[in-house]
Amino acid sequence: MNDLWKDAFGEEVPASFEARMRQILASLEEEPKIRRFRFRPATLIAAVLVVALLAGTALATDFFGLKSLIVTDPYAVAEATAAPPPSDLIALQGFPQSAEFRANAEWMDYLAAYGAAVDTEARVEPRYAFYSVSSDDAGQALDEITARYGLKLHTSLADFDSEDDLYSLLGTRPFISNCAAISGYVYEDGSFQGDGTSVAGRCYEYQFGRYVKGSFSEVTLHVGNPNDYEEWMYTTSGGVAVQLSLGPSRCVLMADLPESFVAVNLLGGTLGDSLFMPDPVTRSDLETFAELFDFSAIG
Amino acid sequence: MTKDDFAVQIMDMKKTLYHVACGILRSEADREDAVQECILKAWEKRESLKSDAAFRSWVTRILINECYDICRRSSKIIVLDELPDAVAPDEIGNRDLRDAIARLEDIYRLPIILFYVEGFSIREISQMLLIPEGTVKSRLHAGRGKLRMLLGEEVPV
Repeated sequence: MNDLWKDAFGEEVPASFEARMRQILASLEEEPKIRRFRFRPATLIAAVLVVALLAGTALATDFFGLKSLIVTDPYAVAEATAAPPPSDLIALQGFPQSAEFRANAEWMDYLAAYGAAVDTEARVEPRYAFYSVSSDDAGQALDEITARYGLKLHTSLADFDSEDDLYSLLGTRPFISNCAAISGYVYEDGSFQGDGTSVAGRCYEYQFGRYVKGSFSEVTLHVGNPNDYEEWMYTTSGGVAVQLSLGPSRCVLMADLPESFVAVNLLGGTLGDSLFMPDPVTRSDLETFAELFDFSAIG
Repeated sequence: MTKDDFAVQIMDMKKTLYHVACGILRSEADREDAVQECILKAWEKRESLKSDAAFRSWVTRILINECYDICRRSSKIIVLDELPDAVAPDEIGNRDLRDAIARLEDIYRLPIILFYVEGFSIREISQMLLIPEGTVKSRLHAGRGKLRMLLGEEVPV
């Protein structure tokens, strides 16, 4: 590394920044803060037995691989000096035939053509605040797409910093087992995005997304080469069919529920090379992970 | 990890944490808020970190998340694994490398800071930003190109 780079950033850290760090460090308590640990081995064993009994029964939904969810990566198109590489970006709002998926796919196409990576700070209407709209033209395009598919834009959100806050904002009963921590934000319609940790035999670090049907979301996820994933349908002990995708460095869980579509990005894979989940994730681990969620409560 | 060990490791990272916060947030107050939340969350979740060797990357990733949260609260959210848009360019013409980096779009600026300034590997950056290694490389390449345009001279590698 050339020292010039370091020199350019080599100035001292502002005193107020360092003071804040020291202040927070001094206030830390020694007691572990992992909260609401509710892992009950007996419950899990029972759940696994039920799942074994259910194995082989008809699945509640059709199977779609991650490959079918690929959308145009607007950033790759904008950055490419020649032909852009194959996109590894998937939309997370629904299976391919759904209005929510198709709308997001069209929106990604539009952003790619429009130049998503072009940085602007144009003033746009506040109603586009939660979307990548940087001009009136883009706003109009988004309106056309959402109108075509009968979808609404998000209008507001609220943060949550605990499992209890999340359930309170959603008005639901608890639906995450063994949750050690979760934080994120909930939109006005109950769509939400959260970073979570659950401990069930091992630690699971994940990003949980719930996308309410009828609303437009532009959340996407890089998955690498979709051919590297082992994928199968799995029926939870609660009788909900979920699609599981076991990849080298991450895993994806998807469930098409009556009122929403759930997509969970597990931050670890078979290689065990993840920063957050350094031990390899197995097929069994992923099925255990799926059992941590009561999808009937999510709706 | 004891509180003292944790504090020592965090304070050893103060420059990295500040540089990363600067890479995403423009306001000093926001940077301080982000590092505060980062420290609290890292302490709270420390049991989930199995390898001490990954501590620096792990804490940096937590800080990046906190910075994104602050961006989202104040403006817009784009995608799960991408950076938020738009930092207004300052007046063009300043040939200082740091100012030029500050003028880069977010998607190029943070990989540049993490790789060239902080010395993280492509793989570590890929895991921190949740983007493929190839994307990290292409953003570094494109970011260098943009810096050349801004600086009008060869950019060190």
